Order: sequence, then structure tokens, then C-alpha cells
Amino acid sequence: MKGPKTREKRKALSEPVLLILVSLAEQPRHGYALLKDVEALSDRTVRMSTGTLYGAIHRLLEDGWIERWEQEDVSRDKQAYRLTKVGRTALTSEIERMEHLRRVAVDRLQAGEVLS
Amino acid sequence: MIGIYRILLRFYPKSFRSSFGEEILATLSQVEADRASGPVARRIVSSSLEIAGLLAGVFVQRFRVRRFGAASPHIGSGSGSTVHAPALDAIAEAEATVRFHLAQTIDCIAHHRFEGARFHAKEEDSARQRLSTLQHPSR
Repeated sequence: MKGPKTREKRKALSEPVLLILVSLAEQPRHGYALLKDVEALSDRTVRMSTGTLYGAIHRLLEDGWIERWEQEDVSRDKQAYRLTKVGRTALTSEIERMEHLRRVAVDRLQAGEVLS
Repeated sequence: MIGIYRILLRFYPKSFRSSFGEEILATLSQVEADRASGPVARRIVSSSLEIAGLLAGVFVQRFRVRRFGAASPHIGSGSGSTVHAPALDAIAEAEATVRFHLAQTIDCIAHHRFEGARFHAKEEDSARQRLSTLQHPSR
């Protein structure tokens, strides 16, 4: 079964990237706040290391999905990040892909129950 | 532990360190403080996870720079010339700038902000020229 054309060639986001984007969808956050929120969002099943977090932040900044959030009187080590419009669009697209997959999975499970 | 983390950070590319080094150490300090009151076993597991994450990050960041560099005719054993690490960092940064302005241009066009699109397209063009100069310095 094929999904919409936009879904066909794009790879699914990795779980850490998806969780970072979901966390930033609500409000800008700095590194430590992101780590804590990702842990809470995943019901403590994902414990991301700081190295992994900043590797993902680096890629997301390069791709223009997130940006540094400029604040006054905030030291460099409290640098916060926020989602850009491009990132919000990418997250929305990923949620649609997951929603499509969920619907397909539910349909197939129901079809399987009828057959068994 | 912060001393060990600081040593591991030295193995990252300079551009990555200058962008994120201080932030990473500050975040690691907060993580350490958070775990300080917990059981010893939990602290050991947490520190091991952080060390593994930083080590993996070194390979990822270094590989990304070298992989990009390998595409350049001026890099590699067969070319007879060597591009030093600072040049590789500069190439990686120029490539990142191109990608950033390209994404912004697409976003601006999608939202009918054509003045912004023109600005980012111009910036992208400049970044591509910089990238070309870095990749082909003899031209």
C-alpha cells in the first residue's frame, strides 16, 4: 500500500530526533531541559546522552529545522533552541506519516482478526 | 568526570568544539549534579553512557568531515596534496551554510516571502562560491 507521494522517498526520523522536535514544538529549551523533557516524553524509556543530543542538535541546525533562540543576558552554556517553520513542517509531515502507518496497522490487525 | 569529558571533547573537530564545547560541558555538569545524590551504580551507568555518547560523537563528527573531504579532488592519498584539518572544518562549515540557506529559501518561497527567498538565495550563492574556492584553491 502506498502513502501520499511526499512520504515515499523520505526516511523516517530517528527516535531521538523525533523526541527533540516534539520537545521543541511546545517551547524553546536549552540542552539540559531537552534531555529531561525527552526522558519524560518517552516515559523514561529513552535516556539520551549529552553527546547524542548535541550531535542531533548540530544536524538539525545545519538542516535549518531548529535555530538558536537569542535571549538577552543569557550565558553561552544556557543557549536555548527553538523549532523553525521548516522544522515544524517536517515534524507535521512525520506525524502524518506515523498516523498513516497507524491506520494501516489497525486495518490489518482487524483484517487478521476476522480471518483467524 | 568533567575532566574526562573535557579530554574527550578535544577529539571533536574544532568547528564543533567552538560551537558546542562550552554548552556540552555545562549540560554534563548539570547531569552530574542531578545524579550526584543517587546510588553509586546509577552514577557509574550514567557516566559510562555519557562517555560512550561522546566517543560515538567523535567518530560521527570526524567521519562526516572526512566523508565530505573524500569527495574533493584535493583530498586523499591519490591526489598528491593534503588539506589540513582547519581547511576541512572550513569546508564543512561552508557546506552547512549552503544547506541552511537552501532550506530557508525553500521555506520563504513556500510562505510567499519572496524578499526573504531572494536574500537566502543570494547568501546560498555566496556560500557555494566560498565552498568552491575551498575545494579548488588553485582555480
